[in-house]
Amino acid sequence: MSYYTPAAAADGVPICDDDPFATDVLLDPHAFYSKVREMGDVIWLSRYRAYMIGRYAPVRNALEDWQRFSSSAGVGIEDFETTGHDRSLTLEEDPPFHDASRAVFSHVLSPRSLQKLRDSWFDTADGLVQSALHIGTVDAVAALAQPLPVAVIPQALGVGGSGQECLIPYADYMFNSFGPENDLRRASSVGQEDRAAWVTAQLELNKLAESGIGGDIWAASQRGLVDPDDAHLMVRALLAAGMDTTVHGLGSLLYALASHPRQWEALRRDPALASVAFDEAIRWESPVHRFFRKTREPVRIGDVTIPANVKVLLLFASANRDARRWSEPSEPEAFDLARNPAGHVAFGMGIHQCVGQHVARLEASALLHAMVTRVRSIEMAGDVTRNLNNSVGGWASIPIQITGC
Amino acid sequence: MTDRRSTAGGQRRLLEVTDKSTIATNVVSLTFRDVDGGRLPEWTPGSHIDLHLPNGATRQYSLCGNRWKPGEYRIAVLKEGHGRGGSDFIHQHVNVGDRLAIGGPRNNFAILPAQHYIFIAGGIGITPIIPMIDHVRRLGARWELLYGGRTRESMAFLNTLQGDNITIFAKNEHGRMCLRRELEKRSQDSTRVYCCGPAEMVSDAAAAVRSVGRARFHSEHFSAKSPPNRLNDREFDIHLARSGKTLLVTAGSSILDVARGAGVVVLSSCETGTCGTCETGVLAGVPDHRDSIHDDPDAVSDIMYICVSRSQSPHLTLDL
Repeated sequence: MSYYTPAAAADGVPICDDDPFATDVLLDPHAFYSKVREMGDVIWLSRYRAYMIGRYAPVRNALEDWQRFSSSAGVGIEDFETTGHDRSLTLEEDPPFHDASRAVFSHVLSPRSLQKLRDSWFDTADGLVQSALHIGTVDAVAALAQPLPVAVIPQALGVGGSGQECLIPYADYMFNSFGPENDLRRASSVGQEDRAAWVTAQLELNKLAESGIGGDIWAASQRGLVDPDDAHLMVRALLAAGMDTTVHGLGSLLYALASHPRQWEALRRDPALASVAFDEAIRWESPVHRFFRKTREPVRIGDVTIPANVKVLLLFASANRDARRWSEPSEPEAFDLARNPAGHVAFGMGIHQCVGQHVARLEASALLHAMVTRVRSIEMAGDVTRNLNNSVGGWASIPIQITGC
Repeated sequence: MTDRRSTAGGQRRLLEVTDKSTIATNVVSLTFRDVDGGRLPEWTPGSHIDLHLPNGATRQYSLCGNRWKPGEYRIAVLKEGHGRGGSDFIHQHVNVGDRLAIGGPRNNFAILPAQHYIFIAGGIGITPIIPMIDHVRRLGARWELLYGGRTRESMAFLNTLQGDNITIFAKNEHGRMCLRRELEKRSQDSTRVYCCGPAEMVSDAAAAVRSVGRARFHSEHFSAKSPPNRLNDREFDIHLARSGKTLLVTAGSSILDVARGAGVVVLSSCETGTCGTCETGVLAGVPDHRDSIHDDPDAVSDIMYICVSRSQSPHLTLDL
């Protein structure tokens, strides 16, 4: 395999022969993460000749340390410095290349800029919850977690028309492509060209509504804050990055509430807990499970020195369940609204921390408001099915039964 | 490896002086590191920090170090010789090993994309320009520097500034530089001009850019009023309008900590004033913004970031 650069195992590093991208691991990721955390701070991933980190403190430190843990060779397993493929804007750039687009993203996606979307998103979420209540027993993914972002994100970006559903498989492939060239990645690539063509067509300047976030990004490029070619890529990136991640985040939230009746009751009694519910849900089950970095110099962590110029797999979803960090007020496996989830790495941390986090929280806030207002009980009505993807986790299906107030 | 959460929050950041050296006539360079040796908050070229001196003075200085050294900040200070205030105190009394409180960093002078840059520095105004030059070098953009000073000996960083695209104007050798003529020669439609120096020079440069008619002009403008002295954080009351609670925020605690301690559910993430998660509406009172999110904190009064920001007024009413 030539798409990544094999490294050498450091002295004394614990060795893991498992494949983190294998179906059985993706079906039960937390068993794997637990094993990885017990092995040490830094693990050698023999199958891909790369390094892996699963404990909270070293994952967080690596995320913050952009100087030594670089994103510009790609945040997937592929090393763009070897293959010469194009990296993506912002996400896969280090300073100074990272700075201009990040600044524009931060501005157009700030809580203040999003305020104008609040009422319409609350209405949309309320409509979805009413429809679900009407049916009673629904798949929470198909009825709530998926339609909400599909309804609000393209519209907020200024992308009108129809066909937005294709953004879900479009983004699913993008996230698979951060992993190795396995069956999962190949299967999700089928039809990707057509979906990419749809996205490209929507992004033509004259199709973007001026009042949307896409229009704000174009306006920023007109003022010279970002290159016009980059502005195009930025809107495209938002369409991909804001879909599956949010679907899985809202799915985690709904699954958490349906499977923890006491927490749902606590939320109904004290709706102010809604402000921590989403962050605790994505700490508990993180939409983005893992991204890579590449070391720029040797990095010593504990007893192991990771050499320079090697790829390191950072397990966000594992760090968020590390008992070394998350043991209060209950064990990390518990979804607990009494916990303060600040510091979780579901959005990453440092200069690359998810620039759309306020968008995701506003969607969650809209959904929770509608739920707390209209729903009396939410319960599991069957077994969940995992969505298999090389980078993002979550559920393809969450059967629930809900009853109204 | 430690969990840094414990060191975040509303506390002042204390930095230790690790180096003090004279780098030109009447100019000292100071290097700081976190007292715990950790990473310092991120900054970008053009950023400044507020330095709170033990004599009660607060002064703003541009960062002139290297972003690739996350554990240190560097500033350069010209001795102004007025006999009062900050720079004399730093030259005479601040030494290696001393601990000083800082605020920020904040950036009112951010470098924006361009194909071609002209940097104009007058005297100690070279400080924000140094990391800007490093930035555009790495980006591969074309750039030129016009750097003026009284004498070569008085001009900081001169030994690191060599090349065909750098023009040095020492007044005792060449007289003053004619900005209009220099800009006429160099300006292009895609040029951004970044200027920092004495007020008179900045306004001359602005006029020259206007009259040449090409290029966009950016200059450093520190706010005239000095920020509140954070060495003497005071306690204040917060009234939480939605939960109906009135609470005391002591000098050593943050609004976030106090609200949480009283059982109010508040979401936060970075707890260093950079991510924006703990944004809170301000219904009455005057916040003392200490986040790195607002470039112009004086322009904002209806929201604040309660993980680090405090209050200028004795009472603050919040939408919590």
